[in-house]
Amino acid sequence: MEKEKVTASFQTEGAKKLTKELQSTLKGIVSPQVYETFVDHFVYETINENEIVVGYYGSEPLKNLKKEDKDLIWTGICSVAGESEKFRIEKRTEHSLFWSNPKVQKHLKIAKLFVISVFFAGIALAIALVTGNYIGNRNFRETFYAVSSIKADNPIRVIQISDLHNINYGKENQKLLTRVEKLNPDIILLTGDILDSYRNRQEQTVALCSNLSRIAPSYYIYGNNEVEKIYGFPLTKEELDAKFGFSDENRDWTKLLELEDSFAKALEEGGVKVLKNQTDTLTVGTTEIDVFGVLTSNPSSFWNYADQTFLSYVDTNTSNLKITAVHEPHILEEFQRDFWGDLVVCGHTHGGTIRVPMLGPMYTHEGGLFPERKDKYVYGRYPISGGHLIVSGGLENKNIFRINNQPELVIIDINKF
Amino acid sequence: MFTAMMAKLLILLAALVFFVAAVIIISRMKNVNRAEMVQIFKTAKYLNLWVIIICVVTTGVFGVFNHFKLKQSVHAIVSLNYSEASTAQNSNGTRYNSAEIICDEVVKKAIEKGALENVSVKELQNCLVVYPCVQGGVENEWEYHISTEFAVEYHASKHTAHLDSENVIKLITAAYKEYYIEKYTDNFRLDTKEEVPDFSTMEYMDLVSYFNKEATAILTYLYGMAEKNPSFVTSNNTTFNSIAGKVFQYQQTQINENLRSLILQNGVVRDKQGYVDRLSYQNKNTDFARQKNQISFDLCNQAISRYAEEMTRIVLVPTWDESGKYYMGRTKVGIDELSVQATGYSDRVASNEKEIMDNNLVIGKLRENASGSQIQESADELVNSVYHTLKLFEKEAVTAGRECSSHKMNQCIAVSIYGTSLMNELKNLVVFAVLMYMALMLWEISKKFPKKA
Repeated sequence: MEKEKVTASFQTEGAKKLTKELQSTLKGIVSPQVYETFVDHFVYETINENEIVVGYYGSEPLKNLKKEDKDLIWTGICSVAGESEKFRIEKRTEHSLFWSNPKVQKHLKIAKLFVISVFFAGIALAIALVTGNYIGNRNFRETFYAVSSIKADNPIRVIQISDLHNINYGKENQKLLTRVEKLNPDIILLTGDILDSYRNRQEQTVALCSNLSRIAPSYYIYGNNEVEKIYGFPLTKEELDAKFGFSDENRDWTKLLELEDSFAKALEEGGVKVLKNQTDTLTVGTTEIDVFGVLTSNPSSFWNYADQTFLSYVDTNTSNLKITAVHEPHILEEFQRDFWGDLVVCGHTHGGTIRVPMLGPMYTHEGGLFPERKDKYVYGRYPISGGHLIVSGGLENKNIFRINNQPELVIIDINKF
Repeated sequence: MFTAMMAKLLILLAALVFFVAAVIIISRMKNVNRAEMVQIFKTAKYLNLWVIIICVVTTGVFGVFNHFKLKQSVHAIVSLNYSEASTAQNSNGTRYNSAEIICDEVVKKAIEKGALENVSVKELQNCLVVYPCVQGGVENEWEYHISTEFAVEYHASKHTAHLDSENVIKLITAAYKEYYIEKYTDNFRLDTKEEVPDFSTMEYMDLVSYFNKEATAILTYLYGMAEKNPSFVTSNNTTFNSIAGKVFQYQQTQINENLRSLILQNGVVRDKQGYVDRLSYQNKNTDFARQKNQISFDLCNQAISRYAEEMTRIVLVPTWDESGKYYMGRTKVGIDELSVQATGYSDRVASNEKEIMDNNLVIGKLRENASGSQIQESADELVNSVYHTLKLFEKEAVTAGRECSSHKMNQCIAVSIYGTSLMNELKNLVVFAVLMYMALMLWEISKKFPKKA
């Protein structure tokens, strides 16, 4: 029934008449069993002087049709439709019947060409996108955030430089330095991975930081790259306990400061303050500001190695504006607190590598695909425990898949309301 | 600008193809009858491969240009979130003016804040538009509406094409917020001195004056805040008036009585002769001023006594008050002015005399008493204690002020920035694709119309 419906849908009146005639002729020639098993399931696809093609839609294998019966059928068709050189019977299914429709074939051809053209246009667009992004990423953009805190008596400007990975913008980062100077910050926060663990360019970082410290008070917070390069092991609770031989009873966070660190010394000599779970207080205008830098940003070690200093930072001088700088945002995702700081700045995520319109950041190492959907802090501004969290996309630009995610210099203006 | 031009050029190209094809069809319509024309349109290949390919490619190119073009236009909504906004007022009760959002001062501040290069205030201002989000009418009461939300639109021009549109609008709104806070919201800064003077070199009586000034500055701030927020109670259950009461009490007892009397009673002084000489010199100067004021007072009195009797009479002039009621107004004649001046001079003479007497009292006390080092130590202790207490009062006052403003003015101005939406881009793409397809199809169909009948 299905076959008939499909066949009828694309057969002309003439073709239908010919089919009927052929069926009645063949009914008289072949045995009733052959007719019922085979002939009744024929669709005459091509009939001309060169060739006769018959489609068989029955379930019986074609090899069961004897040669004599096949010849009889050929003769019968020729007697009705005229002589033809070749005769073929081909096994068909209902599906192939639809696709063998010439109209469908024609549309299919157009559709194929359309898909091919779209495919190539897509490839061209993808190449243009990647190339355009790569070229665009050679320069950084400036992202401005306005944050309000009642503790700010006067406007305060913070510039955050994150995840530079020893990239240079201009000779010896002159372009970056010039812009930072023109933007006239009150505080500069270097939130980690300024150094790249695979490149041996500590002098370059020290020189950059020294120049920055001449512009405004600068604070350096270590990221995973600095930790790897300087300490040679990740600062997890297990690793630190093993290194110092600590247990829950005798843990002493100050031992962290005793670890050999020539990089920090060089930075301090250049006028940059390196904060290792420490607080520094400065005054901008009439506003007193406490800056806390997290070294042990691994959730396993944070409360074990930074609890005393962090709680003292939060609980003393509560009228001071509190700025918390941490490289990785994991502790903020992991632990719920009433107060992390009036302003918290992070980096590390590289803005999720690719930012898909309407879907957001696409991938981070820790959060996997579309991490924001898993409540991860990946890029931009988030309200956090009565304060503001800003996650920088960083300044790294070597990744060619960094799409729709231009490297950025973050400028945060803190105002009274 | 280039991207906008290219996008427009592509639209123009599609329109041109459409127009030319339409002209061809119209010019050849006479060569076919109605049935043939219908047949041509019916049998046309609407899924023409080349038409589709050209359409896809041009739409793609248009999409790229359109994306960058749309990125050059951004808008922000500035919402005023304080109670006075609904009556078109600033938070301090002055009249609100939305044009200030893009005034010279704000735009200049935005350029400075963003370190924007190669752009002038005028050039940037020309790219900005401000209008109320909901515009009411004045025809009747129901249509009357005061908007508390204002849209700021930015459309890049050739002078500003090099700037990031989103950053520009962010900077403008941030600069406006800063401008507004500076101009119209409460000022937490007290007029106390930020730099601490060297107490060890200051004379003790000068310290009394210094502390009095500091206390008065705190009181002025507190009374000002209390006047604006009489019912505000801090989280510590204090009010501006109760803090002011404490400060006033302290000023009277600790500064003006205890410290002052300790100094005078015991003649506490760092350089007795130097200080006495200074006060004597001051007295001389004050006495000169007193003499001048006394002479002026006498002159005024003499002038008054020489006036004719008629001139001293009151002159009544018919006039109307604000509510339109008639009354006889009393005019000022020359004698009134002279009597006012005479009263002023008399007050100044009294003030000068008091100052001289006070200084003489101090000089006398200092000469009478010679303080020992123990008394001086006590005085130093008291000075330090007064200084720290005043600082605590200052902090308490500022904290209360902050708390009050935070409560009242939290997010007084909120800004939301809207860039290009994906839907907007898609809408433009679809419209362009349809236009291009129609133009190309019409071109294809036009070819089927015979040139001759």
